[in-house]
Amino acid sequence: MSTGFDSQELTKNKLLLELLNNTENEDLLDFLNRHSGTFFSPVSESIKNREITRDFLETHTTAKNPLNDDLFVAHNSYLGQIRSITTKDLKVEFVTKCQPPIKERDLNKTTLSDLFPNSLPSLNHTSNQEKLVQKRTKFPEVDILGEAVVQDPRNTINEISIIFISSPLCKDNGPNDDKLLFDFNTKQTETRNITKEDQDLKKQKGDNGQDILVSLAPYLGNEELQKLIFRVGKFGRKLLGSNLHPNEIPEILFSYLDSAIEGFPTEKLLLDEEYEEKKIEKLKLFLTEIILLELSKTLFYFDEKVDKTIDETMNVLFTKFKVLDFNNLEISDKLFNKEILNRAIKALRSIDNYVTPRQKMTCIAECSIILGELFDNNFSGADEFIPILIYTLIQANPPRWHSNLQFIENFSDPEWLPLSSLGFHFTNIFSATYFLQNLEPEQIKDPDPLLFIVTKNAFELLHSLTKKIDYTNYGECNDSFEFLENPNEKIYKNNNNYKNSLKSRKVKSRKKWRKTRNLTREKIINDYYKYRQNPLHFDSKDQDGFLMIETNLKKNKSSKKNKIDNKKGMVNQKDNNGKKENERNVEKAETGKKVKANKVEDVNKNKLNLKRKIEKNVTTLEMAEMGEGEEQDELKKKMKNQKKKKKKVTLEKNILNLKNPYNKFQFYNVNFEELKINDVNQLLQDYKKLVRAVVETDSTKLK
Amino acid sequence: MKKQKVVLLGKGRVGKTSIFKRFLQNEFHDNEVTTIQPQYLEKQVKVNTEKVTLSIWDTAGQERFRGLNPLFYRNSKAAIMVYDITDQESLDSLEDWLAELKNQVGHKIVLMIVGNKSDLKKKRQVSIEDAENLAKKVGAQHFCVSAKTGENIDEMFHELAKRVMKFVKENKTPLNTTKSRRNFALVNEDVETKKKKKKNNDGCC
Repeated sequence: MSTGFDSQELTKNKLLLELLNNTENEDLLDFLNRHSGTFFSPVSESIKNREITRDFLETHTTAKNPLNDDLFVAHNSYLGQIRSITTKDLKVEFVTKCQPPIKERDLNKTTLSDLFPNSLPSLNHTSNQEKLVQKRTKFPEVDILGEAVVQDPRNTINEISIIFISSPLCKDNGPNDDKLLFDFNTKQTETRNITKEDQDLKKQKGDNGQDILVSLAPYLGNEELQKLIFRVGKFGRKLLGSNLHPNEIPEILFSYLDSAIEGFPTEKLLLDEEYEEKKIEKLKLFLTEIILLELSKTLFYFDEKVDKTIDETMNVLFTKFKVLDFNNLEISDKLFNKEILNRAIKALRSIDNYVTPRQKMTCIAECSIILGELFDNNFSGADEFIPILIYTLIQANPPRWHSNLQFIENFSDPEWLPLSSLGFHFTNIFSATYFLQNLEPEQIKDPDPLLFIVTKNAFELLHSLTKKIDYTNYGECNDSFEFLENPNEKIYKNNNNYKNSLKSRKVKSRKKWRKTRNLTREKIINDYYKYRQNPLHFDSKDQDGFLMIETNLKKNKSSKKNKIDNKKGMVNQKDNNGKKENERNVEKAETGKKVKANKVEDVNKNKLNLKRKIEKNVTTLEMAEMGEGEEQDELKKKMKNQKKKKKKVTLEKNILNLKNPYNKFQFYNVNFEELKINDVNQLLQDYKKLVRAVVETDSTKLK
Repeated sequence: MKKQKVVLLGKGRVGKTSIFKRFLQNEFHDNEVTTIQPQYLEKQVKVNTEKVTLSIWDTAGQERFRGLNPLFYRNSKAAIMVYDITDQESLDSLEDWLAELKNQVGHKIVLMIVGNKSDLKKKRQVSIEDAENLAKKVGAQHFCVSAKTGENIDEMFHELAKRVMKFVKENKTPLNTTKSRRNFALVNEDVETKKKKKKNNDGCC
């Protein structure tokens, strides 16, 4: 049966030898025998000089699916498929992993195919879910190089079939999955005795609501509920099409759900719940779950670039922190248990396989419940528990950790989150992450000094992206408890959206104040001047409002001043432009005395003259063209029109100049940036004098 | 009545966890433990005819985890501040916790000041007067308990439940102080017009 691989090749295969000769792996051989399975031997890995873990072997030990020859199941519950493509000459076979872990598949089955009735036409969850799964688990296809048969070393009758593949099957499962921290010395086939604790655990998990979708399944026949689901689904689609920023959606979503559920008849629903409040809570959770199954795909990141870089830097940080051991974190050695820790790590790592915040939170809860087993019914306090949680977090180094936390935080009901056990576990792990994000040498027992040098860059990058929460001013009591309103906001302050939201808030507060005053803008400005003369005449509220205006004004003071100056300047200029040449001579006489103004004026006039000349040329040309075959009257009319046009043009130019404060100064060839306020004032004064002189000459002429 | 959140605060080694454990194990009338997890406990307490579910959150007392505690305060209705009667420092440090709590929670909450290890009367360092003065100052109630013997534990939690119920009834403000609610009708509005509006708003004043 062997093709292309002779026995010599087999003796070189390290992986195979490991499997056959290591007595610890007997159960794997049994597994192969029992299920007439095949062992996949990645050639690339067997040549590399690396340690082979038990987990790695397990992934490659597979059993055939009796119903479908092409499908196989790995020992640690991954699904794979052998596919082939036949071209003209040759048949190419390859292996793909069609995943996901059985756990998730089961969940999908119970929740999706059964649950969603036909009343949801375009909220087609099943297909969407499948697409999601396919997308996430796109596994690199692995080429099949050849097949061989080896005899079982313990038993001469049995044979083990082996398929050589180009690269390993289990690489795509998290950042560094193929190097799990501990190898599995304890045999997995040993079934743990089901104790009372386990049953309790199961119950708790049920309460935690992994089955929230299932719990409402029996009541889906209820017409009212169907209508409600339909409405919510419609709303979900609307949200998707609305182009709103993910930042804005949670608020809208939860307030909508509140109003949608209000007054909903719950008598026939959830008969096992006594209290009305609990029923409504469950219903709300159910609806959020439905909507988020649809939305979470598109709303996972807030700011994709920022979030992704934070995720990556956190992964880097955590891998460097792997140096930290029990001694560093002050955990007693009694708590060390490979098997439990490994399970907890796996549970935490699986967070990225789930879709909705609630599912993700159950992963976190599962992790800490498993860790609870370490204490062996001896009740643990937070002082003992948080260090071990931190340790597991470091070792697990879950993919997209920051984004996952952020997503959970934002898309879970703020009313429900701080009151449930899921919320508690979430807060725990959130605080552990916060601890690691802001780790300082004093917080660790005998730290390796190199650690903080190595991680310095990652820390700096992280802190530039997120902002440290400041708890240091314990003594002072703030009136605004901004932190409490949304802790995320402070952490992610650097986010532009956050800044924008702050801006809009300020505007809102200003608006509110104005509403209370019930005044228009002009009146307020009038009042403001009064206030500046005598601030004591007004209430404290009004004073605050005025202060707001004042600070705003101060901010833009310089630019506004310039604007005002420009306006004045332009008014003068308008006057100038409109005057006749005689007056200009007078002006010249006047201006000759003042050097600065003179220079400016000269430049001004030169330019004006140039412009006029050009315009005149144009008009004469036009006139020449027009004048050949036409009468004089028409010419006169056109002259008039053109004069009007000229006026219009100059007006427009003036307006344009008004709008742009820099224009005026460019016009005079004055470098705006170097200009000081004194200079501006002088210029202004000069202009005022000029205008006065012009007006006076006008009036004398009239007399 | 809805669940009410209670946080346990105090210096490390003061006996927070053992109070927690004792409350869980004690048989006190008409109670029902719903979930047991390390450092998290939900327990129903009957006051007169009404029932309250207290969900009690243990926090870390060690200095190195001090910065994490504010994350746990959110939406809590009551705090149990624990000190050790054989350790004067543990009482003094409560003032820091109180200031922090006041700063971070923002609204009024029910406060309990609890001296643990009352079975070690010989080693007592903290005078009851000091503790009661502090309690008066901040409007808290003072209790001396022993987690070892179970003395006063049930009474303390019963009193807590009573006060929490009273507190919740008096302050019937909506619980959701965490996020301001917006009218969902906004969604129907055209996004563009909304943006325009925003721009206009920014420009004023």
